[in-house]
Amino acid sequence: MDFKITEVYISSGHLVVTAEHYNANGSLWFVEHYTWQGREGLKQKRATNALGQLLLDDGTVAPVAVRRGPLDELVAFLPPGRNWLRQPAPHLVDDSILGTIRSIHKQRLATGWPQGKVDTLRTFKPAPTDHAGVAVLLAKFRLLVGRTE
Amino acid sequence: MTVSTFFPDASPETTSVDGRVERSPTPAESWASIRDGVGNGAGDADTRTLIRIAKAGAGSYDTLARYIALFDTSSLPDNDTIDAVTFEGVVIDKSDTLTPAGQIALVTSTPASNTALVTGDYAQLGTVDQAADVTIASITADSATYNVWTLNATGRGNISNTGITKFGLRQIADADNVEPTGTSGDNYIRLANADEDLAGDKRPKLVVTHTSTFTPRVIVF
Repeated sequence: MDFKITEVYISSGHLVVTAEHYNANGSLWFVEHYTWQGREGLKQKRATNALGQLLLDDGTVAPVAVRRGPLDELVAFLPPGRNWLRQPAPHLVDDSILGTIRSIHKQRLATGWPQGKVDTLRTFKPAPTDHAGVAVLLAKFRLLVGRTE
Repeated sequence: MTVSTFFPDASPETTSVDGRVERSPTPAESWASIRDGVGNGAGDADTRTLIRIAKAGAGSYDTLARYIALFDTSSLPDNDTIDAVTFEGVVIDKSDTLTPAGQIALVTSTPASNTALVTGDYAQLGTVDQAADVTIASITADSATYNVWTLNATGRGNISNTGITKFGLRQIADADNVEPTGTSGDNYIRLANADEDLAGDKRPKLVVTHTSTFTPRVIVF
């Protein structure tokens, strides 16, 4: 086991995920706090249909245009006065969090890291949108507590 | 230590934009003209961006494209030390047919607005490496794997804990102003943007490891 998530909580408008990282022999290596801005709870990915086409807010497929060049690209665009249809859940997903923890574990294995290092989480300076969105993140990711890899 | 992750905003942006700025002339033109000319294309709502040099013939170029990414890092605690930073991005596809082989440089950027890109921003990318260059050959282009630029001391020094951190990607030949040789070719990576439409979450991100500065206090009885 490389790491275990021990806590998921809110601190100054940020989602905080605390993880214990372990040595290959199973002993504790270090404890780390990972944070995401609460505003991420308000960011939703644009919705697509089963064919991967971007959708407008009335459920219709967004118009596309060819961007000419040495590599022609098909680009969806937003007609005037319209909005994109958004997915209901935040863009941030479990693997956004797990991937970051996984990546830090690998990076510190490669570069070396002191045993037992731990630090106290300091106070962030959140924007109003961080306070507005962080509860959504906590509701979505609190079930990660106890997750191991 | 604390590890904090930041993303650019998808469109419509509120604090921090990402997207493309480019010059794609018709007809194709010289290296000096395409590198130092004014931009004629920009986009901040695309799902992906090309970072690219396309050479149509000897001494003749038809596309030079750069990427700008801003991150609102103003929430970082005051006085924290920035210990390590990575810029990470997912690449959809790539080409590496120019000589010399392509590398992608992380540089600073200074777009006119923090929330929109315009053609004039084409000239608003720096030339100083903020991280070790990454060869196109080493980049994983599978629409899933994050490719990592590890920031150097200069790059770490450009992380703002009071405002917007502004970076960008450009081809190293573009940053260093070294014209590719050969008669034709195409060096590019196609990077997922904040508006990406891949499976899961494949947005570009800035991962900042920071430490609180210990402030000793003396209690006198």
